[in-house]
Amino acid sequence: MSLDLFFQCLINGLAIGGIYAVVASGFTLVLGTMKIFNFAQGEFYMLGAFITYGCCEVLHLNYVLALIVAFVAVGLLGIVLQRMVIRYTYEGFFHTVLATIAFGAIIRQTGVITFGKTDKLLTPVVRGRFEIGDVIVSNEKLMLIFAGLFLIVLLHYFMKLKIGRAMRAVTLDIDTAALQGIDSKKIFMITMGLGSGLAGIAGALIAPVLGAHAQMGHAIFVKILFVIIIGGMGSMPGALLAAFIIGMIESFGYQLLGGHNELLLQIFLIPLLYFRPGGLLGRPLALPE
Amino acid sequence: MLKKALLGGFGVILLLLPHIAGNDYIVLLVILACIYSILGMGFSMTWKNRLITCGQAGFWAIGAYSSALLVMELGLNFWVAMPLSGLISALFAFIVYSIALRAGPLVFFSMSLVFSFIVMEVLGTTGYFGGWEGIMDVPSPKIGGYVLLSKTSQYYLALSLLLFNILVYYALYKSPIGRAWSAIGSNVRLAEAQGINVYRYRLGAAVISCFFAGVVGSFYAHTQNLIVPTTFSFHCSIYVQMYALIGGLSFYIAGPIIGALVMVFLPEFLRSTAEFQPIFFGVFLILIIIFIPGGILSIPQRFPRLAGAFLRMKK
Repeated sequence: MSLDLFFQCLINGLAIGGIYAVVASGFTLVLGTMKIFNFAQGEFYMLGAFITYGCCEVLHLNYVLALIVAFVAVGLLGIVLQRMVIRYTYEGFFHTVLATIAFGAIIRQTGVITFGKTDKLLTPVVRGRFEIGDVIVSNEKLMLIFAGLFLIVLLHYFMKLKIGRAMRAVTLDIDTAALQGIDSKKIFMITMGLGSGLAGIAGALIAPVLGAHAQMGHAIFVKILFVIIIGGMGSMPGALLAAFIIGMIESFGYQLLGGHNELLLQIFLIPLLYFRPGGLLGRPLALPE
Repeated sequence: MLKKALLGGFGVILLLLPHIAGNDYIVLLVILACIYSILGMGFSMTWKNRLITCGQAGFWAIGAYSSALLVMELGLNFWVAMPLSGLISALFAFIVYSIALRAGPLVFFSMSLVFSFIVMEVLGTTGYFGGWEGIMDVPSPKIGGYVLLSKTSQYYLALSLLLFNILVYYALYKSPIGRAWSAIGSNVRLAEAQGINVYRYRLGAAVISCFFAGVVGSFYAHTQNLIVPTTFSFHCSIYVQMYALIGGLSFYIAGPIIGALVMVFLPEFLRSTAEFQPIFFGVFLILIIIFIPGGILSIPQRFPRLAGAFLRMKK
């Protein structure tokens, strides 16, 4: 492998890893705080991409505005899911899982009916590329990397705010948090909105690069599962680290082996779980009874 | 008494169905319901241990493909290949689940989901397994010189398979193993304190359920005569769970059967709106989860007064 190809793969891996990191951090936030598996996360990502498509191609809005619209709209939909469905499924973990699957299926099929099964391509927002020696880097990829890192840093500082601290308190122990005067109902709503909004904004970021497709949510959801298994259930640093690892494996794996990425990841996964059952940076999380 | 009468009537209807039904299509649907019930009972067994498996479709696929290849490549008899494919399925389950279970139920849940996704992907992209077109012309099962070609004969095979499964699960649930599973299901910590090796019992349940998924996969391959990877997508595992939930999660044997029977026939009434079917299913499932979380079979328990009034009315 020549040096320029190596850097090419590195940039690709960072870009795709950043997107995975943003979606997976939203997923982990919800998993950690509310102890639920949000199967609709992938569909929220798809919805974010389509909202961007609608804003940029149909309404001819500014791209930055489209990003904000995607974040807010998908976040609101997440709150709707929490208030209308999840709130009533306290029978147990499994009921909530199936409810989010059903909600995701509704969104996906609505997407298929509305937008068809073809790729919707957007006009590129960032054009051009620059070269360092033999390495050619497109500005699009750089934008993805910077946007991903920016969102992660933003999330990090958000968690340091008062509301973020309240979220972490609820994550640790909901009853003790309630004794300290934290309204867990409000925190759940904010968590769900933020978690889904992050998926929406990730979809909005990827839309000008890869286009929007009604089935794209399914593909990324499998990647999110890999990320949280490798990184550790409910561990935020673990999810970020694993997202970039998976982005790298995918990028280099595609270059070196062609196809079969999933198999490659699985082979990487099994021995890791044997030695570290809790993932890279986590400990085994019990199923909520 | 009423329960026994209902059960008997249900059994008689099932037994005579090909002669009552008139057309093969209903028989085909009931065969499908039998397959989903067997997969669902496997799911229920893991659920008895408070594990959620999303991998039933993956192991079903492994069973179907291994049985088809054993018969077509090695020239084995169907009746030998059927348990063998179950064993192959169980072997895969042992490898994957023994590692996933160490990391706890949540990792088990996501690993099984990922595994069933990978199985489909590998089967679809590998030329040896026929790619996305799948394997065609899988031979039908034979008894002596008689080929089980008609839907009626296949229906009785499916029914006997279902009956065998019910008996095995019933015997397992009544045995000390089943009582240990119940203990794990009601309280994991307490079961551990009683000296039950939770890891081993859970692994046992998961592997046995995958064995039967493999066996039913073999049945599916040889009666459909055509297997394509997209049949075994992870949506299928979700359907299995959905049927079990709709039937009733705390009814480990009857729940999946009732759920599968209801849900296989329900789409027939909605056939004109195929495009909107997932939306309808999604709304239906959410409503069931919110309003009858215990499933159809829990209705008499949930509304005993209502059921009592209904019974008095019948008299």
